[in-house]
Formats: sequence, structure tokens, C-alpha cells
Amino acid sequence: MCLTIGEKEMATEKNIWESDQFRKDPYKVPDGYFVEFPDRMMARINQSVILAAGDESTHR
Amino acid sequence: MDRSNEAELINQFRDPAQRDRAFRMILAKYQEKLYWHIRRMVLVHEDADDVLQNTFIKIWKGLYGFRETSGLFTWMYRIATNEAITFLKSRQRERAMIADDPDDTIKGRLKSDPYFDGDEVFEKLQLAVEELPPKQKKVFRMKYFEEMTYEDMANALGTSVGALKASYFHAVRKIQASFESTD
Repeated sequence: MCLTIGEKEMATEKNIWESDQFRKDPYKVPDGYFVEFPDRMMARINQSVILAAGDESTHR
Repeated sequence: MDRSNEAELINQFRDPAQRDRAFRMILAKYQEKLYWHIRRMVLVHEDADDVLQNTFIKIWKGLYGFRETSGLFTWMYRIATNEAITFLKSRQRERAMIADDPDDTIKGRLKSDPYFDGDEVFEKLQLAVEELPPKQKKVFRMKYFEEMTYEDMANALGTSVGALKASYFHAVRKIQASFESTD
């Protein structure tokens, strides 16, 4: 949760980060990131499985 | 997810016919938790995405032989932590080779990340956290950012609650001092 401007003015920097209202997560992710991640991950895994199988057959 | 459901999921993973479906369930269940844990360590989205992928590759490779002595999430959490640490160490080595790159400071990296929307206080807090010794840094992140209980942290890190409380206390004192010194 964000502090309002008034609350920010009243709080010092020193204690803002210890307040329950301080927004600990100003991080965002691209839209749809967690929806598409499993497909991307499975594609990468399948690719590495194919590559590993290719390596094995080359070394046989 | 309780231990019996976890065991069932792992058994499904061990069956080649069910492996992909079981792994998709693991991804759906844990990707966000692991992503945010990694993101708070590496800060920038693109880096977190790389580390998360490497983490799930390790999980895929290790899950077949996973011995259920710890919970599944605890095991995956450790892999994610180790992958993030490996990434940060390799970047530190690269940074040592390219000295004084202003874009490679914590502030520079946060500013250049389009998926970061924090203010100056948050940047100061991150800088102060980065200055902590490794153990205190880890404990502070888990307690403050991830809001984990001391019991869960003790389980994940294999240490005592008392030791964790002491580390967190020292970390908070150092961060407070850092804010006071920059006032």
C-alpha cells in the first residue's frame, strides 16, 4: 500500500520503511507474464531434452 | 499443498506419461512464489526471468530423484536461492571487469527496469540491504519483504529461530543507521 502525500510529509525517511503502509513491492511484471511462463518453460525443457538426446546419440 | 498431495504429484512426475502434466501443475502452483523470491534478490525483471527459468530446469532435472526429507517447496526455494546467488556472483565478477559503469549500480539497474515503480526511499532501502553481510541480507529479505515466519525461515535455512531473530535485529539496526547517516 502507498503512503498518501500527507502521510509521507509527516513521516521521516528513517521510519517510512518500517511503517505498515510502506509499499514493499514496487515491482511489476509484463502483462500476462505468469500466464505464458509455463508454456515458455515447457518449450525450453522439451528443447533441452531434445538436445540432450541428440548429444547422447552423437556420442554413441 | 500437503505432503500426501506433494508425494502424489512427484509420483506422477516420475511416470513419463504424466510427467509434463505434473510439471505444469508445479509451475502453476509455485511459479509466482519463486519468481517474487528471486526478483527481490536480483531486482530486475529480465534477470529474475532468466534465474526463474534456470531454477525450473534444475527442478525438472532433480525432481525424479527428489528424496522427500524436506517439503517440495522448501527444496525448490533452496534451488531458487542458490540460482539467484550464482547469478549475483557472476554479475559481481563481470562488474569487477567493467569498473565504474553507472548503469550497473543498484540505482542504475532499478531505474533502467521498466517494471520497477519505486520511490527514492525504496532505492535507499535496497542500497542499505545490499550493504548487509550475506546472512543478515538473506534473513532481512525473507522476514521483511517476504513476510515469512521465523519457523518457516528456520526450516528453509536449517538454522534456529533464536539465531534468525538476532540476525534480523542486527540487520534492522544497520539499516536504521544507514538511513540516519544519509539524512
